[in-house]
Formats: sequence, structure tokens, C-alpha cells
Amino acid sequence: MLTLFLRPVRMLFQALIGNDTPRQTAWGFSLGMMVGLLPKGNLTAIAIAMILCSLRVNRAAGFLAIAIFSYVGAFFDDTAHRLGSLLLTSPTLQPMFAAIYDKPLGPFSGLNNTAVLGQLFIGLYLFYPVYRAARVTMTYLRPRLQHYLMRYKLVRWIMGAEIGAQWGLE
Amino acid sequence: MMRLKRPKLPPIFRWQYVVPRLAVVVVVVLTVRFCLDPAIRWAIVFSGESAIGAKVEVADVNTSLRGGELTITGLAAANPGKPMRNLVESSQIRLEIDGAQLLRKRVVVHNGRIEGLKFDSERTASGDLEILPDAADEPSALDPMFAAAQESATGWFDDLTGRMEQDLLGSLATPQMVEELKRRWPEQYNALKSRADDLRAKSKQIEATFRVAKKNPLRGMQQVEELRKQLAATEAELRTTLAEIKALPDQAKADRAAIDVARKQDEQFLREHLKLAGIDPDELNRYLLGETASGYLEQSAWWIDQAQKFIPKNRVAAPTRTRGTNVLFGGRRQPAMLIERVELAGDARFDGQAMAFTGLLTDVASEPQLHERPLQLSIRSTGAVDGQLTVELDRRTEIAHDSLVIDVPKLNLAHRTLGRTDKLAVTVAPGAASLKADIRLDGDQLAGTIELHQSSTLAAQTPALRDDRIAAVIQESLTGVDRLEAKIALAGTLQRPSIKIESNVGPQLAAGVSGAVKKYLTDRKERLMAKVQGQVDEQLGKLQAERDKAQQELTAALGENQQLVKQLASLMGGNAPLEVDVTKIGKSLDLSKFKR
Repeated sequence: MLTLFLRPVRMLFQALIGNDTPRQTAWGFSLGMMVGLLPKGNLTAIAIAMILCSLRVNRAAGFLAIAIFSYVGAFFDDTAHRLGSLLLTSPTLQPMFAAIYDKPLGPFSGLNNTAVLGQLFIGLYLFYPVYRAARVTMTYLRPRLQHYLMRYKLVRWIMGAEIGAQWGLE
Repeated sequence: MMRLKRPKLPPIFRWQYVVPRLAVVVVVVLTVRFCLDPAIRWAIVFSGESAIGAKVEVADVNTSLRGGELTITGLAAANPGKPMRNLVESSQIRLEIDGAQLLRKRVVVHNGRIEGLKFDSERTASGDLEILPDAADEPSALDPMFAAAQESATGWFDDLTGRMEQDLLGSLATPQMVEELKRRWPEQYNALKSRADDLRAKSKQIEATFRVAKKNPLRGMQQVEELRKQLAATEAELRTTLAEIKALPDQAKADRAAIDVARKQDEQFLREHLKLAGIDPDELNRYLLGETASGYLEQSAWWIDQAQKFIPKNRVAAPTRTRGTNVLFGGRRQPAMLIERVELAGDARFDGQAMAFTGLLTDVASEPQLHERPLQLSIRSTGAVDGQLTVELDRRTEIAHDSLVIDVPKLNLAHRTLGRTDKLAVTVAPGAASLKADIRLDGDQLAGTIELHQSSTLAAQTPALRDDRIAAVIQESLTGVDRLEAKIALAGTLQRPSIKIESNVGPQLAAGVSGAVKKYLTDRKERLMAKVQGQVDEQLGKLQAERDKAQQELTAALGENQQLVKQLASLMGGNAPLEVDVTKIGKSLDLSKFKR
């Protein structure tokens, strides 16, 4: 039960002051941003989530980004729908999307959905800026934040609990 | 030269994450490979039992993912209404499923074959899932119409039966009038006889008193005067009584006139009472064939209703996704599930006779409006029923168009009874028949015709009629009919259908029965009147004889009185004859000599 409550806090500290490099954290955050923006329940979102979990990136940052951008993404739905409609109904692009849809597993990808396609393109568009911003932020912020937070016994205890959890101690 | 060791970069993949997931995927694939058949079997049984409310059994399921073939062996779905019989049974169902289309979120069956299809076959074990309380049968929409027809026809029949069985004789006025006369005559006779006796007694008394008074005329003068008055009164009464007796023949004439009036009333009564309302041939058709037509129609409606539950509506289902809109690319919209072609083969029983059938089911689609052809089912039967059934369900447009065409040129129908066996029924002997039906359902609007021609003898049955003669006449009314022809026109909606039945049975039976009954009733009326007249004549004859006898008897008795009064007159006044007029008798009495 304690783990259930502590785990999100541990993940937050892990994302902020973990041992991963700023690059890994930025990658994790950017991939999480994409998963967060996308409507769930389609192969595209599942595939990006699988990539996030499979790659050696900061998963905690990724999950944090999923939580943040799942909430934020709802505000972009209108824009995403318009963008998706524009792309899916474009005479130039439509044959391509139709071909994708007609491919095996194509209907499961959700790429014929305006919100999915719109959010995917918004996510791709924001990917590099978010990656750069996250990397810079973590490069400069992490040492200071680590120094500041590790002064607190609670944080040290939580981080220790994280290490213990990683060793299989609950 | 010292070679610098390149630091080992961490692997890009988190293998500790990937490997367990890959293992899970492998397990899932293996599970699907080895557990798919039981899973499909369970799904068929579970969904089937939920849908029909009775046991569904599957002997074996075999799937081949590589070949895309699904084989279901020994499928049996029990009939929820008859637990010891199957609704449908199939020895083997083989479907060729397009595996590539499954990855495109579609189920496409290119080809299939359902073998050993049987309907209403026997079961060795009960098909009940659990004991459920019997649901009350909902009344059919046609029930009021057939109930009215049945009420009308049985009402007519009950009316006829009632008229036959009613004691009409007791309701006639003439016999009552005769009875009244018979009752009144003895009273009249007794009264006249009593008066004659009184007159006799009075005369005797006057005679005795006069003889006493005559011995002493001076003292008896006052008494003689009194006797004169008494004699005058007696004479008046004698005249009245004689007049009444003389009037007896005239009274017989008056009685006969009253009986004539009563007879005319009786004739009018019988004319009104035995006038039977004509029976409507259409009502009779509905009464005789309505139940059969209703049964077929209700069964058809049930099957159509069941089919409509499984066949999706013509509108595209609203997307369930709340975010965004699914774009269906033009020209590529295809139904999620499509059965292109399934061959059917099986056997069934019709009226206890075996028949085999083969069929073809094509273009079954989950979104029929996305498919270019309508669903078609074509069945060809041989054996007891040699015919063709074609069903087409078209959901491609806004309004659904369904059609059912049946063409059975040769059909052997068993013996059956139309109507109510306890009232009026028509039995149809076994015979060859042909059946044609063309039923269309456009939206909710039902239209079509069902035609049945059968070469069979018909016989009417009237067990409720106790009068053998009228029963025989009704039974003979259909003797010459050797064909049963019925045409049922359908209209209205599937929920509230209306039917119009045209048949040769109704008019022929109605005409035969009406003519026979009319003739029978006329004969009966004449026989009744003749019987009444005979009784009246007999009674009146007896009455007249009694009157004549009484007249003679009373006249004789009064004659004795006349003699007595004559003697009195001679005693009082010599030999003056006594006339009937007693005043003369009084005047003939010479009372002056008593005054001396």
C-alpha cells in the first residue's frame, strides 16, 4: 500500500534527480509527451509507449510527461481535429493514408482518426523543441536541484526506498 | 603503444524490459495457437445460449490460422420452446476466413459450407438451461380480427342451433287460445247447468206453494200475488238462459274468429323468428382459414424479427470514439464482417415426410450499406416439398427492402381441420397442393400475397347441431367441392399486419348452408303451422261436440222446466198454453176469482 503512494513521488524525484543523463531524461520526456498527446486505444499510441519503455531512456520522465500531456492534450483536441481533417481530406495525401489504412493492422493504427493524426503531427512538431528544452533544463537544473533536494532526509529516504525497490525490497 | 580502451556504451534497448515482454508475446501466440479452438467453442456456446435461451452444443472446433479455415463440428442449438428438440442442427460448418483481412480489422468469409443442416430435430437430452416460469404468450395483432370472425361465425351457428332447439310450439298464440277456450267452456257449461237446476228448483217450489194457496184462495190471495211475481222472474231467467243456450253456436263462430287472429299472429311470429341472418362469406373465410394464415404470418414475422435483430440497420453506426472523427476513405468503405458465399445442405421434415434441401447464402455483411449487393438466401427443396425459397434482405438504402418469395408447385398436404371442431369445422382431405407466396417488407410496410391451391375433398362438420337433418344438409353443402383455393393478401405493418382472405370455401359453404337452412326453416315453419292447425281443429271439434251435447242436455232440462211452468199455468188459469214468454203465463193467471 505504501509503495502505491510512494511510487509516483519516487518517480518524480527519479525524473528530476536520477542517475540518468539529461539526454536520456529529455528523450524520455519527449516520447512521453507524444504518448500523452495521442488518444489512447490505438496501435500508434501503444507502439510509442512500447518504444518509451524499451529504450534506455528515463522512463520516469516519460511517465511524468504522459501524465502532463494527457491533460494538456485535451486542450489541443480542436486544433488536432482540424489539422487531422485537413490532412486526411487532402486530395494529395488521402491516397497515402488510404493505403496505410488498407495495409495489415492499418485500421488498428488509428491513423484514419482526425484527433490521432492531428495529435501525432503536433507531437512530432513539438518533439525536438521539447527534447531540446528538456535537455537544457535538466543539464542546468539537475545538479542544483539534486544538491537542494538531497539535503532533505525525506528525499534521501525516498530515494533510498527507490534503490531498495530496485533491489526488490518493498 | 598503449591502446586506449573505449568505454563501453550502454545498450540502447532496455533488454530487461524488452525480453519479458517478448516472452509474454510468445506465450500469447502459443496460447492462441493451442487455446483458440476451445476459446471459440466457448464463445459460440456462451453467445448462442445467451441469444436463444437454450442449450447450444458444439462437438469440436478446429481452426487453421495459416489456411484461414474454421471448422465447427456437431453444432446443435436446442429449441427453448421444445427442450427435447433442436432449433437447428448442423453436422459440419466450414468457413474459409481471409486471414489478411483480420489484420485489417475485418472478418471476410470468402467461401463456406454448412452440411447436415436440420431443423426441429430430436435431442437425446433436454435443452433447458434452467427452469424458468412460462412467459405468457403475447396476444397477436391479428387476434382481435380472428376473434371477431370466430365470434361472428360461432354466434351465427349458435343462433342457428338455438333456433333449431327452441320449443317454438310453446311460443305460439293459437294453441294458447285453444287451451283458453277449453278451460273456459266447462265453467260456462257448469254455470248454465246450475242456472237450469235453479230454475227447476224454483219452479217446483212455486208449484208446491201454489197448490197450498189454491186450497184456500181467500187466504192465499196475497201469496198468489207473490207467486205471480216469482213466476215472472223465473220466466225471465228461463228466457235468458234459453237465449244463451241458443247463442252457443254463435259463440263457436266468435271463437273461431279469435283463433284465426291468433293464427295470423303466429305466422308473423314464425316468419320473424325463423328468418336467419345471412352469413358473410368473408367472415366464414376468416373463421376457417384465419387461424392457419395467422400462424404462418406470425411465424414469418418472428423469423423476420429475429433476422432483423442480427442484421444491422442501414445507417452507419456512430463512431464510439469521443475524440476526433474516423474518416472512412471513399471507395474503400467496406463492411467489418462479410460472408461472401456459404453453401447450405440439409434435410427436414414436412408433415412427417422427409425432404432434402440445398441452398446458397450470399453477401451477409455487418454494414450492408457498405456492400454492393443485398443479402440473398436461395433454398431449393426436393422430396415432400419440391420448391424454391428466395429471401432477399436489402439494407443498402435508407429504407430497408426485404422480400420473401416461395414457389412450391408440388406439395403434399396432410389431413387437416379448419375452424372449431366443437362448432363448425371443415375437414380437408390429404391431397396435392401448390403454394406461392410473394411477401415484401418496405420499411415497416408489409405487402404481399400468399396463394394456396389444393386438390382435396372438403367436408363440413357440425357436431354441435343436434338436429340430424340440418347437420346432414350442412355436411352435404360441400360435397361437390373438390378444391381448396385460398388467397391471402397482406397489408399493414409487421407489428400490426392485416390480412384479407379470399377462398372458395367461405362463399360455397355460406351459400350451401344459407340455402339449405332457409329451405329447412320454411319446411319447419309449414310443418309447425300444419301441426298447430291440426291440433286446433281437433280441439275445436271436441269443444263443438261438447257444446252441442250440452246444448241438448240443457235444452232438455229447460224443457222440463217449461212443462212445469205449463202445469203451473194450467193450475192457475185453466188450459191456457204456456208460451216461452212468462209474462203471458202471468197474464193467463186469472187472479180475479181469488179476489172474490
